Amino acid sequence: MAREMNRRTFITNASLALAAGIARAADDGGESSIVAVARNAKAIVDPNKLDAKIIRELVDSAVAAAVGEARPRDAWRKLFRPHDRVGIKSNTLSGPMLSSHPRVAGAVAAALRDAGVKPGNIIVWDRLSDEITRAGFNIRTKNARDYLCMATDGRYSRNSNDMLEYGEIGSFLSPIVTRLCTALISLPILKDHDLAGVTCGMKNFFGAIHNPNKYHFANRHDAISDLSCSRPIRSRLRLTLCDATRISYEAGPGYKPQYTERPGMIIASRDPVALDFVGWQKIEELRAAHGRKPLAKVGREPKFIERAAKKGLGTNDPGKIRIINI
Amino acid sequence: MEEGGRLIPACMWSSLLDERPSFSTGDVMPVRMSRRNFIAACAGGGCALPLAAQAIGAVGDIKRGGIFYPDKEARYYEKLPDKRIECTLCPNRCKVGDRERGGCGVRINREGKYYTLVWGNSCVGRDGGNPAPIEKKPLFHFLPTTRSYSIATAGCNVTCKFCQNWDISQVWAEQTFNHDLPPKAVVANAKRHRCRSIAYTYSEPVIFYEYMYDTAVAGRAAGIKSVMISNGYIEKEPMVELCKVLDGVKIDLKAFTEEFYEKLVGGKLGPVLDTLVTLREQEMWFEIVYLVVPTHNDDPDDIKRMSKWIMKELGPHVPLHFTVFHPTYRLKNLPRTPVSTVARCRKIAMGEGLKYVYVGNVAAWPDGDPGESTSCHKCGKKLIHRVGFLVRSNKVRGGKCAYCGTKIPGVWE
Ligand code: SF4
Repeated sequence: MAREMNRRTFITNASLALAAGIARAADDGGESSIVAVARNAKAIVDPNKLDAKIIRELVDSAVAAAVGEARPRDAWRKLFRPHDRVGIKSNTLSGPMLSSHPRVAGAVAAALRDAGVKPGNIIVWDRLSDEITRAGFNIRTKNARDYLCMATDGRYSRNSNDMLEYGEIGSFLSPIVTRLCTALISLPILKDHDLAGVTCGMKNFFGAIHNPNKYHFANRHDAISDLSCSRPIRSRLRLTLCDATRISYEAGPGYKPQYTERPGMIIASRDPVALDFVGWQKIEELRAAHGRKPLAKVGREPKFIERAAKKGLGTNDPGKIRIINI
Repeated sequence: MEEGGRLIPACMWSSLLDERPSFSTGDVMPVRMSRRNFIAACAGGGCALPLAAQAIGAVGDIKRGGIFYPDKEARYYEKLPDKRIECTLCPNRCKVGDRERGGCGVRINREGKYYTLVWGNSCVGRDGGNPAPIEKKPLFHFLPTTRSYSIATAGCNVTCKFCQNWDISQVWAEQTFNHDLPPKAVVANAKRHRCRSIAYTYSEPVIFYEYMYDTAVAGRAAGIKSVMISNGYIEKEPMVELCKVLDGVKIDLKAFTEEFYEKLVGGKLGPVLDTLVTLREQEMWFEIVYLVVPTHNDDPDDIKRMSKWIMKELGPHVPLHFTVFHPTYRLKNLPRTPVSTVARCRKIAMGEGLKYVYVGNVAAWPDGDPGESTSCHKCGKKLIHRVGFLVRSNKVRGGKCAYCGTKIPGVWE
């Protein structure tokens, strides 16, 4: 089991971490990756409405814990510089009930603004205009007071795509990644996936390529990990922040009310592998609680997590993941 | 951590865009036009003519990512629990969760119902299609010298690393410039361009099956034939149904080894061979193209085995075209196929008893390569003299050899 921590020990340890300068232990030669899990059931107002204030608190406390700073603003500033252009990759495939929520994206954007990033340099995006709109976002590509919002189909054309070849991947990467953003936040949701097993931070980047369906045939686990390990993604990815306010544990990726829980949870980490590993365990817990077999037993173990760990993107070793519950 | 791959900027891609159909890329305005804009455009003079033409409907509405008919239900699928479906159109047999797409990227599951996103959405040419010589398909035994109105949509059910049309075949319909071109409009355009047939081509028509089928029906009613230019990766039942409305088929047999199909195509050889047998059973006119990729599928033993198989299962009169590969898409590390290689393949196939074996993409001006022309299988006299897609002379009369009267297999005037 990954080591868990309660709120009190977190505050103590966060101060210690700050003093010792080990904000990202794994990066700095330490042994652990921090995954912060902030939870407040009151964040859910009704099935598709979130309390903006509570969400902001959850986002801030999770990020502060993940970065090892006592004050959220310091944590955000440590991750992003004022001149950064930050792409927030949402996952809006499954409609308003099971997509990255606009309130969560809004909280992230507000935190970035507080850290000095200009609204015009904050870009919430996903693959298709249709889907991101359906999930409750408004497309706006200029003059935004809070953040810009766009989709890759608006800019896809054969003259504006950069081809990525890496391992299993042979795809065009969204110009939003390659040409607009200097930094990325993966803002996935946490859900079961009929092919990959789990959709979380790494799989979220399938929305950054033009042909994700091609990897549904074979080697999809390799493709998911390769994409996250590819230079354009990993060199920009600074934070994974999972909107687990709602979690689907079966029959994903579409929204199925009968298989969806609403724990009001936000999970943050700088280690995308550790975060996906913890997310997977949360899904397994829910599956067990509802009498479902583990994903490995139904042939859907998310093997891409282990593969990404082997490639050095992060850790999936429970002994090296420090979970901070807030 | 490994290096993290190679990012090839778009500016390098654009230089690679050769030998392809003319695509819809926004050279025609990608928006519908208001009356006021139309008048302004007309007043603007010559450069506004394409806009004016579009506004009066001479060319279909076109827009990037436009999915004009998103609610056309797919014809071949089965419902599974939890709103999942299994697509039964092609051998991939994708099991698709709610809100997900199948491997071809242009079929979507919404609430347990499966839809095609490309019906009526051709994405090539100025008006949604290209009037092209039938020889270009290539179909050498199908109404020579006529033109075929060629349409395509986004998407494909395999992932060939050497695809020439990857920027429509390997993308979604949201990423191409689409024309609002339902079947009747396709037929009208084909007539306007004086085409004798409609070709479903460029990407992979299997994945726009419903569009192809409905267009073929409309074409037949108007006296226009239909030909499918395909990889043959389709299940038997839909293929048999399709044979009822098609007049000719060209199948890309990409190799004769499962290894090639697995590594370079992302599919399987077996189902393609099954399709060829189905076409023979259905008495459909078909020709086979074998793109010779240096070092990957040019082994003389494989060519021999394939030729024997064709002889045994399909007979000696099926035209077989060996064509030259040129480096493209994800297979740019190879040279063009030497003409001597395709000539050798032709010799092997003819040695096994095949009567109509051709070479293609050989650019043998001014007189053409002997392997481009058709000779009577009985008397051996040259019947159709071709240079590339150009027919210099045609001595097939009423489907027979003008010299000895032997019936020449194919679809003739
Ligand atoms: S047609 Fe498309 S969705 Fe259907 S089985 Fe083939 S690849 Fe899958």
